[in-house]
Amino acid sequence: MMRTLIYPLICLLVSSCASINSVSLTPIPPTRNAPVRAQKSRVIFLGLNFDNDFVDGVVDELRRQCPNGKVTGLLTKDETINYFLFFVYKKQVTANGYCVPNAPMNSKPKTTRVSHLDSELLGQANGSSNEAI
Amino acid sequence: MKQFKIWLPIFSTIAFAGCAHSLHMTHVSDSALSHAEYSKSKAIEARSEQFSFLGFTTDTDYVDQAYSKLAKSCPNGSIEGITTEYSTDLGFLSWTNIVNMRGLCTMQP
Amino acid sequence: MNRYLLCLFSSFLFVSCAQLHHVQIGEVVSEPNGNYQRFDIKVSDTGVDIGEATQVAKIFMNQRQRDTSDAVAGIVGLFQMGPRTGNPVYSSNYTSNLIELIYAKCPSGNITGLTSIRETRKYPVISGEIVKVTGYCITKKGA
Repeated sequence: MMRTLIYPLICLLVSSCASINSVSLTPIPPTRNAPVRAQKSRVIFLGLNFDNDFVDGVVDELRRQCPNGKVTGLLTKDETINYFLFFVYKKQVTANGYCVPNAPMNSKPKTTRVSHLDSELLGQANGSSNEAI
Repeated sequence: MKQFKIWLPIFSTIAFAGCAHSLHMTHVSDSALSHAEYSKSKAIEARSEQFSFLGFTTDTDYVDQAYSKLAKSCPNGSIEGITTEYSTDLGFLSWTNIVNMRGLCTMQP
Repeated sequence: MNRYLLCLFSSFLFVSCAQLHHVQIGEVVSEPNGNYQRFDIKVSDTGVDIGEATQVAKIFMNQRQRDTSDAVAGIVGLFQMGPRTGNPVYSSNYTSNLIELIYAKCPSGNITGLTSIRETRKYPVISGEIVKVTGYCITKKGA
């Protein structure tokens, strides 16, 4: 009986349990033709972890996948995957987003908060009506 | 009085045992919508859940499902001012992890 | 009895802790020609710590009632299993209209430095489970 139970018990102990620590999402663009994804993780034994520098690699990877654009609609997931009673666990950061190509230099700038404010100030300074952006 | 002493623990158990939630985090993203664009925008929401019995869950794909659902709710527009919530509905020997994403969908002119 | 009540009420004066669980900060825009008006939005619900409630209630109970309260607390605990941040609350939608509140505070929509904070204000037995959103509304100078 014990032998019958011990194998499923070992399987339960060594199977992974995944849980989320935090989630965040940035504004999603209308053009979603180019998804990008980056994932970095670190396996930690007995809680001995002396830095979290592995997270910095996520941004570098996203920039590599989107060299001439802006990564937006970024879903960032911070999760913990426990392998064995928290003696061995993995910290994983995953980022999924979309690469939006940058507008060419001589085209009209996109609407942003800053340009919106600037155009209102320009309109006031020049005495003209605000230009629709 | 004796009946009160019998029923009070029962009512207390029923009252406090059910429908307990725990909100872990809330994130509000930036929003580039002006007041006029905000008035014309449509509020959209996507929610996904993961049932967990004693914590035995092998993935967190429900988060990606909520993300896909939200993006599909606004296929040709941009989604701004996204509020992302991660919470848990507590239960009997089990719980349900919930990710709720709400945003403002604006169509491009 | 009076001594117990005095201890209980005086504990409210000294035992209130603020716990920070999570912070996230959005992009920060510096605009030299803008006025920055800070706004704060706070939404909260009351969380209940069943264990602490049981401990406090036991002060006023005899031995048999204490055993019953332990059993009730145990059963309630079985029905409230799961990962927790702060104390459990009994409403799941108290944060459902944050973006509307933000635009009510800053109708122009020129918002920067948006900070989302999840915190707990702890008191004996109960706690305030708070979501605070702070930011700056940029307006034109002289407006």
